Amino acid sequence: MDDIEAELNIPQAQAESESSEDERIQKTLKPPGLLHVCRESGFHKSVRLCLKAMRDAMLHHRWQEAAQYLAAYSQSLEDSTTQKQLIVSEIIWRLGTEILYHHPNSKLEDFNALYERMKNSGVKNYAKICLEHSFHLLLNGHFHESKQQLSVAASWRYGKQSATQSLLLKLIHAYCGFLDYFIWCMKRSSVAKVGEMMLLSNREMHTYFRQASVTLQQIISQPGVWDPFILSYIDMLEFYNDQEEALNVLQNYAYNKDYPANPNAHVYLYQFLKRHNAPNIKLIRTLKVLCSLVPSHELILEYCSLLLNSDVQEDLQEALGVAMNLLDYTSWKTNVNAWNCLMNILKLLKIIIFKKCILYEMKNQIAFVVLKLTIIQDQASNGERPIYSKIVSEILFQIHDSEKNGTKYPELFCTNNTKKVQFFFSGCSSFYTGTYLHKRRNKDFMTPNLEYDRPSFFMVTPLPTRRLVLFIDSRLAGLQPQC
Amino acid sequence: MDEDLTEGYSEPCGQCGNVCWGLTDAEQFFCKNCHNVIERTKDVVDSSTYSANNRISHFPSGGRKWIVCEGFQFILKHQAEALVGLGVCPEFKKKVLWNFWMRYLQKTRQAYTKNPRITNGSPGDITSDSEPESLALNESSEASDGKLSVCSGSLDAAYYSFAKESKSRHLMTMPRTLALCHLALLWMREAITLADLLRLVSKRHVPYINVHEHFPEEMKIFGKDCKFFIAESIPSYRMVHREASLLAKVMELPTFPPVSQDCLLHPALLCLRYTMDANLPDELHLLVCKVMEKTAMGNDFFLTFDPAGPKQRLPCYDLQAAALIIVTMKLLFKLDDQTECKMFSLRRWYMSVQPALESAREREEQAEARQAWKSKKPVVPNLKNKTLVLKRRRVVEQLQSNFHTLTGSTMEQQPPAPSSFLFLWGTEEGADGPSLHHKRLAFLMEKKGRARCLVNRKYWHPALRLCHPRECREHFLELESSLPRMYVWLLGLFSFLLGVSQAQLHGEVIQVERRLLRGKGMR
Repeated sequence: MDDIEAELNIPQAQAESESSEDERIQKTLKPPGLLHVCRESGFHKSVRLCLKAMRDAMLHHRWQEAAQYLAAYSQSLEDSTTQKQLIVSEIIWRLGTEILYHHPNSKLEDFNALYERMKNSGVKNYAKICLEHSFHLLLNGHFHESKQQLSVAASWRYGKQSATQSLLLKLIHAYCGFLDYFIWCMKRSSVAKVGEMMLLSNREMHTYFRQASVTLQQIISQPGVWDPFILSYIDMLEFYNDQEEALNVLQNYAYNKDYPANPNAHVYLYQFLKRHNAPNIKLIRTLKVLCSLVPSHELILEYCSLLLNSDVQEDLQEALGVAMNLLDYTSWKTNVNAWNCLMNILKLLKIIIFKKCILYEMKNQIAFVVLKLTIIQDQASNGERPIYSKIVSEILFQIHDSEKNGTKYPELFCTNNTKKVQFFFSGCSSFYTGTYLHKRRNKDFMTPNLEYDRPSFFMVTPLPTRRLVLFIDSRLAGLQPQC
Repeated sequence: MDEDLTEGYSEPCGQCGNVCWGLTDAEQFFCKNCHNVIERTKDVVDSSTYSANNRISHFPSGGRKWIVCEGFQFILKHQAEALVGLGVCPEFKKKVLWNFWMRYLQKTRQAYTKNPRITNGSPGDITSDSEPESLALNESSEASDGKLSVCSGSLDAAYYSFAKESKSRHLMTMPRTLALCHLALLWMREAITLADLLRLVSKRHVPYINVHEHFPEEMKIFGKDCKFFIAESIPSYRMVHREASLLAKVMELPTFPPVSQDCLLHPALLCLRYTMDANLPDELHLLVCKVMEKTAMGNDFFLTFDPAGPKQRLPCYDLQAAALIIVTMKLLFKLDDQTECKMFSLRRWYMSVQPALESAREREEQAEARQAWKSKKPVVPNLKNKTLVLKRRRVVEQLQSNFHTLTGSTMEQQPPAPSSFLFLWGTEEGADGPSLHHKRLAFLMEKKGRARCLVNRKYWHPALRLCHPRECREHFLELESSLPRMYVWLLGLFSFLLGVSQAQLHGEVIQVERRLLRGKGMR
């Protein structure tokens, strides 16, 4: 418990941390109690306070102050304890780049200087820092310096390579190729200004193309997610009119089982096929896989339109299913194009003989969808409302129209004033009621179970109802878009 | 290209594209064509070729042989010079400290004695030198073998580090240099108390951290010397106080010169200084003197340090002065968080001091965060790491210069001039707040018959009895939550002024109360 001993032992314990191996063994035989009693030295306290102050300054965006604290903090690189050493160099690297990024007076040379210093203090972070340095140069448009950094990094070997390091080196290799592509692009655009003839005879450009393609081919052949690299490779191949190779690469990327499932692969393949005017069947096939992977993808609308244009019966049914699925997603719920698409599908369906069966199965879904649509309509702005009301009325008209041919089911009464809609859902065993009201205009209009001026809405959970009954105002004829 | 040195490094130079590398003195690669220096250094290549046999050949030539005591002697010399520069009488360095050092060496049998026990205990006759600057070394004491000297700059560092030896022999350490200085200052009855000394050290006005930079060129420090001469903390008040008492006992010092009323160390004057610093009314000082009389803490017998005497207790003048002030305030204001109204001036005083205290604390913390600990001349702990240590130092300096140019601030921040006072009260520019020195305290006394008594009739105190007759450890941490907040805040204020812990100050206050309430001299 005597303080003097503990304090006197502090310099001893610290200085011994960098002693040789045999002395280290000796140290471990010492009674552990003494070492734990050691309080924090003044140096460590200063460093800790400095880090805390720097963090505060950064969180409050006081970049000037943060830079001053970082200058004072860098003395901790000389700390004799090795564990702290590794952490410190990483802290200085990351915080330093952050401060430089936000500081008003920072220049590219400062970044370069910081990266160079931190690369060489400690081997653990070398590859990471090299990558970040080259990214930084890349983002600032210095392609050649970036490439240089990467090639230096790629040829670096020190000590045993751990698993993460080998991953990083693979990445470095990949970005080397990517940068070759960038430089090739630069050359292409500069040469294109000169003239078409020059394009084919430019040797430098071709060397870069060769370098890039060799590297990228190596990288792409390994399983993984290589989106930007694939795109750049395809771009180059298309430029040199090597469609076959491009198609092979894309198909391999999309369909090879070794590669992780990647929706982008299918997107790229589709775009490529579209650019080269492939037959619709192929396009549909491609998009089918995409649909199964990501039902809410933005290309699904195109898929639907493709399906509509085809003559095959099943395609149309599938289109309906796909469209319905799509509209389930929140991001598509408010998309007018999607609703229009659905409307087109339903229009087509009306003509088809099997529509009843389809309608029967789809009815509950449609009703629920219509319900949702009216909610959206109400929430939509004034400009969008007419569109929604038009769609609602059209859909309901379709359903009603088809129902006139004999089926008993939904009785729909549309109102011209689509602000007031009353829904009546009946479930299997019980009756669910939903009323949704706004202030109505025509007071003489009477319908049963109306509650005036009560903006309340209860909708029960969408159980799979077999029968739906929709009561709407009988002004079916006055179906006009109106607000 | 220096093939053997650069080991076939064949990357093209960034600036000129040539492959022609050489090695600078600081072991960095440079391009011989355009003299562009790159960051790569030899350690990447060389560490595998290092072997034990090469050690001797790397022994730094040009240095002379020296022992650890000599190092401490230099340190003391520099500390004395700094103190004389701050205003201490020059005799402090030439007579008092030097005599203390000689006496210390004598009593611990390191020098100035018939059989000095150094290195392997070989007897050597060291005659005392009239030249105070260097210790002449006898030839026969070079019996230490070459293996020891390679691990350290000094000759006997390995011997010095045997822990067992040092504890019984009271060898010199860095904190002990401060303790010796404190004893010498006390002997001369200078106004620099131990708290002041430690504050001067922490602000780098007295060399302590990185003092090896002042060593002459011939005395090289590396290896095991680091343990003795490199300090990474400022020692605490309590530690230096204990070391000073120990040293006084080891050195068998006689009774110190008496501390009387006219000395600057006398509690009366110290109290005046602290009341001024704390923005308390000057009238308080008279009351403090009265309390001092009551507790008999102002007489010579109590204040003089006598190492050989029965008490053997080194008085803490600064702590006692602060404790007296606190007790007086407790007497006047009761300080139990409940008495109100008439004590309005207390609240005003609190409102003026508290923000100043908070900002002073913040400034102190910021200054500590920016404090530089590592020296410009890095000391190499062992030869294997030499290049690494040099490289790190270089990297740190480059980083610092980069960021300093970025922020536009200068590298060398001059420390502000040392001052006895922490706060400035008044209406000048840069003052911490309005001055309350002129306030009257007459309302706190009332006439009762012929005598004047305090208005406040009650006084509170925690348990005054010692738990153990010899060692009663502080109970402050247990008590702290039950003490009135005003009292704890006041302890905080004075402990910040002095640079000690609140627990220590509280202990002193208890001692004063014991003397006051139970009669002087009783335990």
